[in-house]
Amino acid sequence: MNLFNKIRGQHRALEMLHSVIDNNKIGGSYLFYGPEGVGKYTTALYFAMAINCLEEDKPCGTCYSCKKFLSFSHPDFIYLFPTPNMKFQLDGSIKEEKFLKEYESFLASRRQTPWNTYTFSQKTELRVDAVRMLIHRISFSPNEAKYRICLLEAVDLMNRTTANAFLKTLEEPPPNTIMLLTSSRPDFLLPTILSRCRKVPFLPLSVIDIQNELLEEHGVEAMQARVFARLASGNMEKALQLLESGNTESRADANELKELIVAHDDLGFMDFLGKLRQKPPSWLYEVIIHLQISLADIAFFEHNQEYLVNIDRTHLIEMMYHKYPNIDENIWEEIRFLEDCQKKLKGNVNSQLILIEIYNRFCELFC
Amino acid sequence: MKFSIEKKDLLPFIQHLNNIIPSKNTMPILTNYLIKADENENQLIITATDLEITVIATIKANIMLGGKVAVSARKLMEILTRMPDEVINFIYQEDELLITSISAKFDLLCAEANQFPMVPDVDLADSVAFNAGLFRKMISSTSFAVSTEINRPIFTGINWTLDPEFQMMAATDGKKIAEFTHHKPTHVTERIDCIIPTKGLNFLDKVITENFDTVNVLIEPNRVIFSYDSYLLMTHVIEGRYPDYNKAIPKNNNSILIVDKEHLKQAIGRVSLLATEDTYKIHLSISNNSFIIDCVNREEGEAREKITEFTYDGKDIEIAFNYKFLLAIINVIETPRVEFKLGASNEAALLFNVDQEEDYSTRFLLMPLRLL
Repeated sequence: MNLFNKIRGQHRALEMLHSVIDNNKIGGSYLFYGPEGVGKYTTALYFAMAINCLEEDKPCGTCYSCKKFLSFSHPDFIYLFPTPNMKFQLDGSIKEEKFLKEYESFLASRRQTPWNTYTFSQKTELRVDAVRMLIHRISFSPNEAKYRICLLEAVDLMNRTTANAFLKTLEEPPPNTIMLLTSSRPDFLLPTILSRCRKVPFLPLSVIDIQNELLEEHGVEAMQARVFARLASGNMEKALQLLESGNTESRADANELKELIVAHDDLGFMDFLGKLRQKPPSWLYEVIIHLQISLADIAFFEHNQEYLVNIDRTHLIEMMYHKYPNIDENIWEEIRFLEDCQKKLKGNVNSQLILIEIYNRFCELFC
Repeated sequence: MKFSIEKKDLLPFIQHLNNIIPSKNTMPILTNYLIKADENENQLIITATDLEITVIATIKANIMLGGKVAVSARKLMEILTRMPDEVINFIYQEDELLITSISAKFDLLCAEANQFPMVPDVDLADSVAFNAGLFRKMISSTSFAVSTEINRPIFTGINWTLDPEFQMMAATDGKKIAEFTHHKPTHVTERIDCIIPTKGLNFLDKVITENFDTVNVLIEPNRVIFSYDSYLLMTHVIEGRYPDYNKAIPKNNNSILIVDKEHLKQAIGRVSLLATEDTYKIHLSISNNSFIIDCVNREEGEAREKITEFTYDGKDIEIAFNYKFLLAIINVIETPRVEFKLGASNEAALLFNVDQEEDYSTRFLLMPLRLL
């Protein structure tokens, strides 16, 4: 099976790559850019496999070349990603045991669950010693591949010196060497890097694409798939992360908060406030996002039911809608209020106060 | 796959190949040997690679059933080292390599052989033959001078020049130069220059013995292949043009010092005990009737030695060197006496063998350190 068919929603990017492969006009450097979680890395990997695939239907994913790519053991595949300072040696070794372990578990996580964000023990960026290793490795001729592939993930996480060290190689890669860069923040790249790449655009995924992927590839129940697809806001990684953590905690908490608001249960709310202490700082932030989505749901409830996100909670939406039927006139004000709360949170305002403010305001609205 | 071989026939190869295996590499498959059993030829083909250098050893063995397997290099060597001296049987089935002797038995889990980097075919028909002993001497006389600095890859290799009339190896790191020239015609038809990484050459230096005296060399555009005895070594060459170090070699060094090598070596060894660890500096004062080596270490004290047997013809001179570099050069001087050609205190010194009657010649250059 052609692996490109597994990529959803990126017709423009795929069209471009297909024409490159079909006409065998393979350029030196490509930049895959677009929002997070839409398949930039996966497409880049499949593109690398397709260029070197030994079968007719490229990339097949089953020939030995494709297999080596998929297991990151291809000698002509150099994969760089943001890491802590691991002190990469030129020959590709990492002397410190701890970092080598981290490196290996990152790759293992990439192989098995590419949608998960692997967290390193320290601050990550694309390091200059990794780029030096790449430059050293490509100074030799390719080992067995038709085209040697260098895949650099999140190139925006490269500091200026590293970028400049990399520039000359990017401009004139050695023969039969292809640079694939991915970035979700192309605005942060040096113009000198941008101008040296052919750009492959990636778009946010549609709800339908995410829903179908969840249904067909991950065996998710129809209802759950609908909800997650809508919650993910065009980000496949997020949808899968939601799926892994089940019904996310913050979403359940947001629902609990809504129920408290509707019932105007002040005592219950005091208990809820107590939760705040055990949660990470990002928790309230996520709860607010869910509240925003719920507000939209309430506004859509009467006329546009197909847009509902929390379709598994329609009874709550309905209840809230009936308490405040003309919400659609004032919704922007409420959304802005919540956005304001998020800003305050980021500005280190006491989160308990923010939560109380939200509760009081919404109680007035939905009473 | 199934074969048996005596421990003493296999272990030396495995030990040599182990030098190639990278440690702590980010590509785990490289820490394996690829072992191929060839039923028709009745031989084992063992490959080790770090992607820069690939070494293939071909060993006679009793092959019952052909096949191939990738097996952890470290574990295999450790197992073999501890095995009793007898015939060892290897059987590969269902991802496990079974290693048995009469008493001991190991089951080693193996990687998939197909994951191992492909080894390109080599046709040695156009290769050129060289004398192995000489080749080894060329390597050991020059390899100490290569640079370990990674920023300038060109200095991390030895420059090998092959000319129909002569051949030459040279190495430098900007502080010292070593050059070895063999003045006999070679079998090449036109001049070739290539810069070979030292790792590959050092491997050859280790495996070359007196038992087998020809190295076959095949030079391709971006790699060089050496074949010696049971080994086949492929190394990438370093791209670029080797800098013209001849410009750095002084022409007017007229002060000539000739001194006994062993004597000098021991004197340096003693004086250097007090050399500072940041510069390794020792200081030589030479005039027609005295030759003193000393070194001053502000924190620890002074050392001083007078050398009595020497001949010197030239102006009085004071000059300082890094003693590690100086000893490295003296160590590869072959004659009992060593000749220095000196200019001024801030000019490079040249070192030679004295009265050597061979068909090859060497010269070494060492940059001095600042006197103060």
